[in-house]
Amino acid sequence: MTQAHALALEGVTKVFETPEGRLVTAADNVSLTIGQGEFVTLLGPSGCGKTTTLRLIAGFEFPTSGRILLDGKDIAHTPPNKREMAMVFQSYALFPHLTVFENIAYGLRLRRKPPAEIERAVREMLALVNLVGLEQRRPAALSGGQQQRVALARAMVIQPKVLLFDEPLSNLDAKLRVSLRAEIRQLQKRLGITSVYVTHDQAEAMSLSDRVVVMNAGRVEQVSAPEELYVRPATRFVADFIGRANFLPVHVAHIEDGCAAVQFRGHALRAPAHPSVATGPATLMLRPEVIRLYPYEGGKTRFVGRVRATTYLGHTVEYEVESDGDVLSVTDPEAVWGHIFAEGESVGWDFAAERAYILSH
Amino acid sequence: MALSGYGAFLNTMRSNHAVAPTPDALRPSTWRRALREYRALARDRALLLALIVATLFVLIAVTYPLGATLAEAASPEGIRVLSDVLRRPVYHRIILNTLVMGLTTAAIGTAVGFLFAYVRVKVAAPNWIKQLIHLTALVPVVSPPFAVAIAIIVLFGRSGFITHSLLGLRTDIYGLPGLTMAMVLSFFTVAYLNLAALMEGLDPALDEAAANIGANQWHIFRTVTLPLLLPGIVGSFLLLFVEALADLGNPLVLGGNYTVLATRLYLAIVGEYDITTGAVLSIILLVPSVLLYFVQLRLVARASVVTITGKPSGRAQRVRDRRVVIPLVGAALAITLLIVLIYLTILAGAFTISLGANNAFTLRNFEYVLLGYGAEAMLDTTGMSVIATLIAGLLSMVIAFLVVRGKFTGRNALDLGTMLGIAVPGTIFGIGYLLAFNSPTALFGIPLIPKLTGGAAVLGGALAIVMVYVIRSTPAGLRSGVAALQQIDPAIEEASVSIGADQATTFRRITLPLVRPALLTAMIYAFARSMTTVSAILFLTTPQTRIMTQQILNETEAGRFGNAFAYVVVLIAIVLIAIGILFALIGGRSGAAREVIPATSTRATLP
Repeated sequence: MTQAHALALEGVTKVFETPEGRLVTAADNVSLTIGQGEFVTLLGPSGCGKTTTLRLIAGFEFPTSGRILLDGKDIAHTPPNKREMAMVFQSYALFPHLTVFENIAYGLRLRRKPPAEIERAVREMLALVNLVGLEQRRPAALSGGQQQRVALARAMVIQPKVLLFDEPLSNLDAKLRVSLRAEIRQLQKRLGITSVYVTHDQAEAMSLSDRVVVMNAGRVEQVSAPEELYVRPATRFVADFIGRANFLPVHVAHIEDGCAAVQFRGHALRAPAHPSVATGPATLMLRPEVIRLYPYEGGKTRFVGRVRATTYLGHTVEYEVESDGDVLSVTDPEAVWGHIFAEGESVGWDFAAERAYILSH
Repeated sequence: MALSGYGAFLNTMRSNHAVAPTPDALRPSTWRRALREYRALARDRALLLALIVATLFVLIAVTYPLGATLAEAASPEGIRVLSDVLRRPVYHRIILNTLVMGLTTAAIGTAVGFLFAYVRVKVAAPNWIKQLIHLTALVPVVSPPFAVAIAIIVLFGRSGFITHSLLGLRTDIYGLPGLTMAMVLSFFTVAYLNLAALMEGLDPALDEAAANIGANQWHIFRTVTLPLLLPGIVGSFLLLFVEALADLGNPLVLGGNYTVLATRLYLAIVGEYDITTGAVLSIILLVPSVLLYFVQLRLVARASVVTITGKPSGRAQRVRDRRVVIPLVGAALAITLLIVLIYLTILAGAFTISLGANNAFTLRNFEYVLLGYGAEAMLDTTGMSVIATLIAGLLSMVIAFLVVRGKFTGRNALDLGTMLGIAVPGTIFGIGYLLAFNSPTALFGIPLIPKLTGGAAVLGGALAIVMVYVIRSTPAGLRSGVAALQQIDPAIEEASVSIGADQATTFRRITLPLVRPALLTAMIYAFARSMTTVSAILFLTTPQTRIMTQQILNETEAGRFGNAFAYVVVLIAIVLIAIGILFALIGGRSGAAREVIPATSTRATLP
């Protein structure tokens, strides 16, 4: 539709002062490049600085230091209304005194577009977000999902250089969240608008984004494509936040071709490793579904343990297995036709080393 | 995955305490921080302009005259007068009188307010009775404060309609009893509105819970209702005390030999041209007034925060015991009847040659007010009030916006400075304006403010009067604006800004329509307040600008009650018409705006 725009953050830091006079670094030296038409999600627990970062991009806050570049131009101190971005809010933030039509037309009227063009553009948006026929309603007469679609239309109709989302689906129920999520992704791809999306819901982040930025305590932990994030997390925090993980101590003997040769419980393994890993002590990360359980056959398996808890979930069975003082989380997706281990039962366990990952600490 | 993610989420919550505090070494100095905030603010021209206008308004119209009064009182001459005042028994008498009058008025006024509120909210009584007492309680808001006083003289005075003509008594109504009666009937409305709002906000579940464990009505009242309302009761008491201290109109008309600070102050200025004594007495009056005003604001605010929990969770228990209902409703009706009688007297008096002495029907009083000498005062007062209403309405919303949404050092000072406009007794502003603006103000030889008061003042003193009207009515508008804004999700305004509107456009097209009910309240209040204000402008009127309330006072002092009553009737009519016009222009229509009408907007805003 329009030419896409690129956004970059360079060493952006934001320090707030609390009413009690305490200083808090909400965004700590955040650097990030977002390509033209890319959909990037800021993901993290509450208080991790993702919303602050988004508000800094929007211009509702100004950074304490650092630069924010839009198409190479520093906009860090440009007022929000001059940035040609548009934000979609968690609370929808529709104008309650205006009709659906006027809500969507608001940005165009501000830009003094001719009435015929406004009419055409608003109708087009209404069709895109499936709201034809509701244009004369007030926001209060719409459902939550409809309201958020109006908010989406209101933001997109002005063809912003960057579209910003602040947890837009958090107020909706689970089913609606999934369907609207797909709608947002479809629209964004179709219109090719560069987008930054904030959420604490990892499923949302994974399903929507080209790349995910995981944040923690104001800092960027990792920027990766969703599948990369799960398989090759950069830190223990990321591994733990995206899905579940078991962390076991190992010793790295040497590194070669991105793989580490490690010693784990007397066995030599070769597993993919994060670039930051060096020889010496390190951490072996195992996803619960990577671990395989076998009936105990007296020393025939590599590792042994004892089932501490069994949780039957229908499509999978989850186990807690105690092994050499560590407690492992194990997910068995084949339980539907396989054997279910009982609590207290001794088991053997193993994993494919190429599906494990070595972290530096 | 969602399930396991939640576990991980909890883990991170445990292991990472959100954000790390930065070492204190990085702390920017307060000044640097303030400067940065203002720079950020200045990025939006309209916001900066609004801040400058609001600040200048507070500095010039509120703090400068107060400062001038303080300076005068602190001058060597002022110190001499002060020690004189503190030494001489005649002043001890005056101060004692003032305190006694204030305490009596506050106690009885709060009690009457409580009675009205309790009957309206908590007692099972026929609806028409509730409506009647509610509307009657509101009448004093739209009438000049001493209208009641004049009617009391006519009804209960030496040759009073009731005391003399009916009962054959020769009573002396002048002095404390008459004064207290007039003040209570003029001011109890504030206590009534405060307490009624609080009672409506009480969670009915509390009553039910108490009843459930076997408490009887009296026990519930004593152990649940009363303690919860206590801050509101104390707050109303303090507010009435401050009002009584500040009132000039009633003591002038009904005080007689019972001199209070306000009347002594008036005499010092008008009778003795002794502005220093005026300033000194002002300070004596000012300190307790301002202190108690802010204490009561805090109390009432806290009371409403504690008890209003959102949706009522049950049905309020109404008192049905006849032994309680009959005396309470009876008492409320008796007072209602008295108020009705007083206003009927005003109405009758306006159409009579001399009520009590010569009860012949006449239109001459109205001829005098509408076509004769009073026409000019009527037009002047109304015109200035209209201007003040427009300014105060907009200004109060702008300041409310800055106070609620602004992120800058000094926004509490702006709030406080604006509130001083009502916390400080009007008389003191009268003196302050005389001291500050009786000669042109210049800074470093550059003329800044021309002469605003006295002879040869700019626009015949009209500018100063409008300024006083504005500072007296902006605080109430500010409070209702703040209450309304706090209920509007800031994201709505951010949404407007994010899609390209600047602050001014956002304010005009989004904020203002959403706070329309608060704006309406603010403007109605501003107009009623301006039209009925007395104490603040008595020193500021000039031969070129005549004010209705001053004319009423003059007519009363000259004993021409008929004219005074006609003025009062016309004044009330103008206020009512204006309210109607404001409702038609600003009220109604938008359904969305209705939803944000805060229950608090009429509360604590009618001091």
